Amino acid sequence: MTVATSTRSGFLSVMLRKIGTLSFLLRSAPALFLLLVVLMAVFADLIVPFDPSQQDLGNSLVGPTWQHIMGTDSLGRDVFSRMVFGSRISLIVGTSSVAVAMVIGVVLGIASAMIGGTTGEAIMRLTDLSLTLPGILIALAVAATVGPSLTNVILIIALLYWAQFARMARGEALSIRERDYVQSAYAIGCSPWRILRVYILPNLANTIIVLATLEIAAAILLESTLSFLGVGVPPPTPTWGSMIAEGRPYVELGWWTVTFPGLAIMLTVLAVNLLGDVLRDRLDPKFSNRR
Amino acid sequence: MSLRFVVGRLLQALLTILLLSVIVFGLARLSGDPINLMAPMEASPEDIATIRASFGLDKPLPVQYWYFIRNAAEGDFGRSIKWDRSAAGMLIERFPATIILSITSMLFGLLLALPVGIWSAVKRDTWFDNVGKIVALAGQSMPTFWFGILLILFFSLYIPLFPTSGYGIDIHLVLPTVTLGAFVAASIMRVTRSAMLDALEADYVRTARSKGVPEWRVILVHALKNAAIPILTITALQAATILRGAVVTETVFSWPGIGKIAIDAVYGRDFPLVQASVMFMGVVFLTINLLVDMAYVLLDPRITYLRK
Repeated sequence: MTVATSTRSGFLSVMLRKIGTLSFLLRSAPALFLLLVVLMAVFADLIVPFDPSQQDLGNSLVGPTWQHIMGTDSLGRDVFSRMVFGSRISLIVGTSSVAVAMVIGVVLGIASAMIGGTTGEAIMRLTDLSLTLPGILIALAVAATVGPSLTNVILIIALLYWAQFARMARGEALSIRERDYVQSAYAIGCSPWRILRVYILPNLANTIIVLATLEIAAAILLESTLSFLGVGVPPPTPTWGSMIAEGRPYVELGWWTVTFPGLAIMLTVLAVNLLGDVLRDRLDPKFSNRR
Repeated sequence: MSLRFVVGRLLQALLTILLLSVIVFGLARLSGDPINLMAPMEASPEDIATIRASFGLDKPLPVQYWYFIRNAAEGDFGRSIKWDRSAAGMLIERFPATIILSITSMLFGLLLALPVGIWSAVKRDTWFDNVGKIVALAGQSMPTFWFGILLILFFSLYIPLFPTSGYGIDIHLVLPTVTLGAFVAASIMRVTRSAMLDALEADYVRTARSKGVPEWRVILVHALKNAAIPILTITALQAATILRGAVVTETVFSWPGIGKIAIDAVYGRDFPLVQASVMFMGVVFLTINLLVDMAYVLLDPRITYLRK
C-alpha cells in the first residue's frame, strides 16, 4: 500500500497518520477481543456476580448501577450475568455448526472432484441447488416443526452453510490436482488416498480456514436471529438474541436490556469478520481484498 | 447469451423449486399430525377421519406429495387453518407491502452507499475512507432486528417522530426503510468503493485527466461508468438479500408483508400458510437470481459461462 504523497500537514493529518501506525494494534485487536469473549464463555461461572436465571421481581428494570453494571431485565435478572452466559451459546453454535458444515462440505466437495463423472456432477448440482434456497425461512420452518433445541439449531445452520465449503473445496481440489507435482505423484503410482492426504488437504487448509472464519460470523448472526424470533435455543438458557426479544416490550423503560446484548452480537461478529480479513491477507493472498 | 445458457439456468431454477417443494412437503409431515390442530376437542374418531379424508391426509405419502405438487402448480396451497382463506391469495394480497418496503429500502441503500462508496475511493486511505470502512463492516456485523429496535427506541419512543409500527405509505415507511436499507447499504458501499478504485487507476482515467477533463466529470462519468457492472451486480444480489431481511424487519415493525405472514404462520403452526409462504418466497428469490444471472451476461460480454 503506497502512502499518499499528501503535502497536507497540520494537526488533523498528523493525528490521522498516527492512527495509521496504530494499524498493527488494530489488526490484533479482533483476535484479542475474541480471546476475551472465549475466556468469558469458559469461565462464565466464575465471572458472573449473579445467577443468570435468578429472578428478583422487586428489582426489575433497574438501570446500570455498581451492583448490576448492565442493569436488570423485566424479571429482575442481572443483564451482565445473562450476557456472559449468552456468549456460550453464540460461540458453541457458531463454531460447531460451521465445523459440521465444513466436514460435510469438504468431504462432498473433494469427493465430487476426485470421483468426477455423473456422481461428481450430481453432487455439484445439489450444492448449487442448496445455495439458492431461501435459508432463513427454511431454518424457521424447520425449527418450528422439529422443535427448538441446541442440537437442532446447530444442525439447521450446518445444513444451510455446507454448500459454500463444497463449492470451494471442489474448485481448489480440481486446480491442485492439475499441478505438475501432483500429476508426477500420480505417475509414479501414488495412491489416491496418499495424494489426498499429502497434497490436496494441506493445500486446501488455508482457504478453508479463511472461509470457515467468515462463516462463523454469519452463523453467529443467524443464531441470534433465530433466537430473537423464538426458534433458537429455548429458555431458560440465556442467548443474546432471546435477551433482545425479551427486553423489547420494555425497551422504553430499560434501554440496557436490549442495547448490551446487541452490542455483544455486533462486536463479536465484527471481530470474527475482521479476523477473517486478516487471515485472508495472511493465508490466502490471492483472495486478498486489502486495498 | 446463448439459448443453451438460458435453458440451462431455467432448468436449474425448476429443479431448485422441486427440491424446495420436497423440503416444504417433508417438513409439514415431520411436524406431527396437523389434524390434531384443526379438529375440535370433542371430535369423535369418525369426525377426525372425515376431516382427514377431506384434506387428503389419509392417502400414502407419495400420493399426498403428488397432490401437493399438482395443486401448487396451479397456485393452490390449500387454505390457511387460522384464517380459513386461500393461502396463496393471502400472500398475493400482502405481497405489495413487501415490494413497497423493498423498493424504498433499496433506494435508501443506494442513496447512502453510492456517494459514500465513490467518495471513499476518491479519498482513499484518508479518515473519511477509514471511517466509512469501519461503518460498513459494523453495518454488516449488526443484527437487523437490533438496529430496528434501537431506531424505534430513539426515533419513536424517546423522540416521537415516527410511529413504532404499523402500515402506511407515509411516515410509517421511514424506520423500516432505514433498517432494511442500512442492511444492504454496507455491501453495496464496499463493492462500490473497490470497483471505483479499480476504475480510477485505469488508463482511460489518466487519459481523461491529462486532456483536462474536470475532476468531477472524470469521477462521475469516466470512472463510474466503468465501475457500473460490479455495482449493478451487487445491487441485484442485494435484492435477494432484501427479501431475507424483510422477514425480520417486517416482524420488528409489524409491517404486514409476506415475511410477517410467514413468521405468524410458523408461530401459529398454520402449515398450509407456512408451506405457501416458503414456496412463494423461494420462487421470488429464484426469479430474482435468474434475472440477475441473465442481466450479468447481457451487461458484461466478457462473461460467457462457458465450461472449460
